[in-house]
Amino acid sequence: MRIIRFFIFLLSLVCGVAQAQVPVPPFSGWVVDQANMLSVKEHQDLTQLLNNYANKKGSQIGILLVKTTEPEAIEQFSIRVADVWKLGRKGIDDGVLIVVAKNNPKSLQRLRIEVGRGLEGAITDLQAKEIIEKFIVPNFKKKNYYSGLIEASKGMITLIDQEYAGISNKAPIKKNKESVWKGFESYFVGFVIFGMIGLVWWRMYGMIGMTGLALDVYKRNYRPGMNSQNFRGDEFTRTLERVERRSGWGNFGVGGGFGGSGGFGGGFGGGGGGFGGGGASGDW
Amino acid sequence: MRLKWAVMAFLIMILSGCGYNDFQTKDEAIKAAWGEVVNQYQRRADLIPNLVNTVAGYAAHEKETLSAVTQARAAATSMQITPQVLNDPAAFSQFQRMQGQLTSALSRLMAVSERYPDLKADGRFRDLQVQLEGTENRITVARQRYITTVQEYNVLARQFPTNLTAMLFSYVVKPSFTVENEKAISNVPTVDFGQAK
Repeated sequence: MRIIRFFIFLLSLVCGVAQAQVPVPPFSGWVVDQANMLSVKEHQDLTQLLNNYANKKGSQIGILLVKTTEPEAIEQFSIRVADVWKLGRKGIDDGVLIVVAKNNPKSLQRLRIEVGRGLEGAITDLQAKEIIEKFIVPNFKKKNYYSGLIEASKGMITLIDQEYAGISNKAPIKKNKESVWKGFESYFVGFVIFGMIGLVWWRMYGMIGMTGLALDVYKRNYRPGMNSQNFRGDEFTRTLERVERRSGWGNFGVGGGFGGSGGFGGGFGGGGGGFGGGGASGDW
Repeated sequence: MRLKWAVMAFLIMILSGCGYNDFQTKDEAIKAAWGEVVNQYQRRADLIPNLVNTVAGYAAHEKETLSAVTQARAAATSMQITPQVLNDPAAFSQFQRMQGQLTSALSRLMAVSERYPDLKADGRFRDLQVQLEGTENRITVARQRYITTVQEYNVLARQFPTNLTAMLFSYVVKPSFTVENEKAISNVPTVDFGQAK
């Protein structure tokens, strides 16, 4: 009976997996190539172009090449990725994500440029479509994936530069430090408050303190041969009171701040930029 | 003895807020998400007059389809959208219905446009198509975010012990987009007349 249940459970897992969405790939660099569309050198060159631009200007362009986004349409997949990667600087939202799904069926589309909120004026839907049609599609038709992507990136760099001439890149790329502090802060405050209550409470009841005191008093009053019959309770209590008056706070009970865990994700990360669903899709 | 316990419990409740601060945050988040949804629907409504004019230039005798779109748009934009809509489930579902009707009218118009190769080749029409697709995507994203935000809020409003705070400060469960509507909107009809592009 148990075996049958176990197999049903296994079956449900398999069935569940069959319908699963493509997981968001980890953000390991400006160019993530899961579809092997670029050679090592091409990958490096493209990464370098985008990296230089991000350092110089602050705006972050990312490229993701996957095999497929089924069962989702490319728009649904790319907004999920954009929400996790968070390209672009927080508050400025100047990130752009190019997604290519090499083996998608026509109905789900194979190209998408996802534009961050802050760049929707610099790269309008029409302009994103134009970049796709003018730079990506002709090159991809000839299987020149690298040329298509680098021309598209340069095109977007030009558009962003035109619009964002005034904004400096001094705005720091906030990795995950902020979230670490936020998590810690709330835990810390909570624990300090709880610790203060604990202090008051334990002082009033002094249970842990009492245990310590009791041990202390017992040690003082221990006489060899003491047992339940000849144990003098009133003497014990008097010594206890004397010791308590002298020791003051006794024990500190729970106390504060073991801190929280916060978000410790380090390493490469987007700047916290937001996406609103703007951009354009296409196919070649 | 009991008084001390009561005082302790009261202090702890006050200090942790029993979700009161969470309610404030999430309520504001809902208003912001809702504002975004309304914004994007308005953006779509703004595109429609141009679209209707462009199509009319090539397919003037498709009067029924064109006027259906114009009327649906007028109905959808005539409704006053205030944050109070969130507290009124009837108004909320009316809003959904009207936007849904506009979506259907639009898809019929785009399907009809497939039959006119001159129209499809027109630069303005192609531009409007791109803008419309972009706006529809923005609407989808805004709706999804609203649904997530409302879900978090509703869980807070229904779980113990924060539901007590909710009752105390009258934080009611907020409406969300219903599943039937999601299905209807995600299945935009793709009509293929089999004509060469």
